[in-house]
Amino acid sequence: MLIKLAWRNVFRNKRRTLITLMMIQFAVVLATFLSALRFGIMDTQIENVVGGFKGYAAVCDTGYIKEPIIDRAIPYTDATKKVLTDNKDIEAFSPRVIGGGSMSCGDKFKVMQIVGVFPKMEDSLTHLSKKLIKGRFLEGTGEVLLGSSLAERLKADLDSIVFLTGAGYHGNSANLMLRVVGIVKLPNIQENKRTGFVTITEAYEGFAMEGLVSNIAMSFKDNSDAIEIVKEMKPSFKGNLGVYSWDEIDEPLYMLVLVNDAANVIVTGMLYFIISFGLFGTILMMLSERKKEFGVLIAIGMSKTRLGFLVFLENIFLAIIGTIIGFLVAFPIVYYFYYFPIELSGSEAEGMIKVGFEPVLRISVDIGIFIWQAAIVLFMSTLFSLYPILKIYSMNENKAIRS
Amino acid sequence: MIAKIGSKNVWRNKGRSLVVIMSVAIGVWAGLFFGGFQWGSFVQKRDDIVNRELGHAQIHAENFVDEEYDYNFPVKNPKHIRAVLDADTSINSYVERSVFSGMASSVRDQSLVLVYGVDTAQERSISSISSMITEGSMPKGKRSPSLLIGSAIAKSMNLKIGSKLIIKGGLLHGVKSFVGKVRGFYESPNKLKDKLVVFVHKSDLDKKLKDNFIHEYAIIFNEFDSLESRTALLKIKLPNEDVVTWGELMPEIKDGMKIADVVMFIVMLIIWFALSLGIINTMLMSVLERTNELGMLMAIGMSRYKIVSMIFFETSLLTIIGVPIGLVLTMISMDYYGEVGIDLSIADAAISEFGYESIIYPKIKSSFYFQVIYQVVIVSLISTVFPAMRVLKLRPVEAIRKS
Repeated sequence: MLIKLAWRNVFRNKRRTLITLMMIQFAVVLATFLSALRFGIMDTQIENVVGGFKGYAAVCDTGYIKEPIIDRAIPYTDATKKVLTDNKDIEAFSPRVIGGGSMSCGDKFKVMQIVGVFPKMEDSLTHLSKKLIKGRFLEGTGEVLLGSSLAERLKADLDSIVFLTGAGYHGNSANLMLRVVGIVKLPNIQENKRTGFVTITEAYEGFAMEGLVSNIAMSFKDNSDAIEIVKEMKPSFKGNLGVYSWDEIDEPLYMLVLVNDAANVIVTGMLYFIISFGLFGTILMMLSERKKEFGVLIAIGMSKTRLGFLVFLENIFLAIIGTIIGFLVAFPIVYYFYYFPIELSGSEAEGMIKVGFEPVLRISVDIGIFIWQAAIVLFMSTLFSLYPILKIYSMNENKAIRS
Repeated sequence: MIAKIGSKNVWRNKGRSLVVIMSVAIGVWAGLFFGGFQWGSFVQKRDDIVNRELGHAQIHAENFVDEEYDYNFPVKNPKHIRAVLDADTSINSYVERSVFSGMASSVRDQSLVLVYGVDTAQERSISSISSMITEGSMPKGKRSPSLLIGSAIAKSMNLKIGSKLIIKGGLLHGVKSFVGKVRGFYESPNKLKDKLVVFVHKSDLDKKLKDNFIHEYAIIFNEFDSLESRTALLKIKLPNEDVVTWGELMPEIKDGMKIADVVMFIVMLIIWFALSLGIINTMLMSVLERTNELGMLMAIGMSRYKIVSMIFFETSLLTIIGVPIGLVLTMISMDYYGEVGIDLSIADAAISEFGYESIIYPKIKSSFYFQVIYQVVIVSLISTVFPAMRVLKLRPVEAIRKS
């Protein structure tokens, strides 16, 4: 009976119901939008740092992260290959030999890293061929692709001959003579300044490490789950082999993410605070408007407990309906900004480009954000629905009727 | 007269007025606090870098940075530079350093380092190196030069007090090397620096390498705010050297703030939107509740214009009361958190592993006060337009009959 009554009460005063629903709905939409935006910006940042070259995770020697030297190489065996190909979460992976040395072209030098790759596998992971701004992709030995800033620095162009002198495996010295066949623009400025790519056969010979690789970088179908997926993968790598996710590979980036997450908690907390005042306002208004009605109900014998419960039910209905509407309204809005992200212009945009970022604020469409924010607003509205119960308990029906 | 009616109206429903006042107060507080949080974390990072390491501006040889801080690229004419700097009255102090990238090798390990040959007495005008020492000391004039190394390097290279290190510089253009003895460890707020920088007395270095090279001048001006124009003037006076501001050396910090500004703008927009919803909702309610009464006022000859201005007066009054409350809240919380700092590890315990940077000391630019107050006032006035429009639509004859 109470439920029926509550349901009817909700629709009795359409104006009030509408305002309350709008309030709750907007609360959900705003909280979702804010969260989605902050998460989106963070995701872009992660993508920018690790998505371009480092990879969201990598298999490597257990000591490689601390000490990325060529001697900490791992064998690229069929067993490892099978583990990676069988894993359904992995989208692409690319074994790499990463060696360092000094590259010279004419009288220009630069300390840089040379990466030996299987061209097709590397392309499926980092889409390297799409980043070509000049020339063509790797086809055979004796060829090298250079990052555009590196090429500029060395004054190298297509068909220039460059020499690399570096340390090979176990004290061998590596000497490579290469012809520039292509120039790529890597998204990360630092990498663009110091990275060159050769075929893995070239690297095997040059660094004297046939069958060994420095690491196997990979990306996932859903990169936002990288950390969890890697945790599950850990047991399948034993001995000196390990698999590491981006937060382990790039500690400063992980720190940035953590600090940003914490700032996120503070900012959304403030938004909730302001939203809660709006929600509380609607409750107060409802109470003052219906004072007389409540007084009459109590006077004709309705127990305060039942009345309190009735009002609580009404508010819960409103909260649920409002949250659902908000949840549904948030989708198209967030998706709109997902497909048409906010583009910056002016000095902000220049600043971002300088640091190697696209001047665009992306928004995240992680379903978890929608659910979480809706749940939090629902929780807040439920909490506020308890207030009228207190108010009704302390109500003096005689005064209330006369108000 | 309108003012009198308006202010009486405001106090008729205390609960509702309080909701609006508090919404405004919280809006002011949230805006200022969030801005202070963002600005504080930026200033902290900037001061750490500017005041401890870079100084306001630096002078290097023209291709020093391009050549990766190579030892063989010192400034060409230190006497001239010294003369120019000494003559410039806008300069508070400057230091001369021998800075170069090098390779530090112990018996077992080797690591890339950045060697800072410093005069500790001079450095004190920028930051005291001795205050960062956590273990040991840095005596001058020993037979093998004292090395002060970051505890992070010490850990990764397994170094103890008394360990010997061979340091090689000039890797690209003619190697120079010396053997030093680790006599102290330091820790700075910049964890990345601790992994890279090795301090040595410049006089010891000059004795060993016999070059007396100066690679870097770090300059502190009297005023931080005018450093860009001052640096530009120096550039003209020293056309053959590379004179740069800290912002040009660390664009990721300087431009990072611009990006943060954009995000901040959007976040504030969302917060203002939430605030305006609360105000619209409450004021609309207050207008709708008084339909009867407002109709009566119109019927007895009060013009619509006067009624609308009365509504605006009511909101303004509430805002005028709310703003100072918000300011007081801000001052109290700033006083507390500006002193104690906001420890982000509350939000995520993992942050504390990274040390200092997890505590943020919020700080507010004075221009920010005006900006936020101005925005809140605008938001509350705009929010009143909606309820006021409802009033304009009222028709006295119908309004009076509504109960």
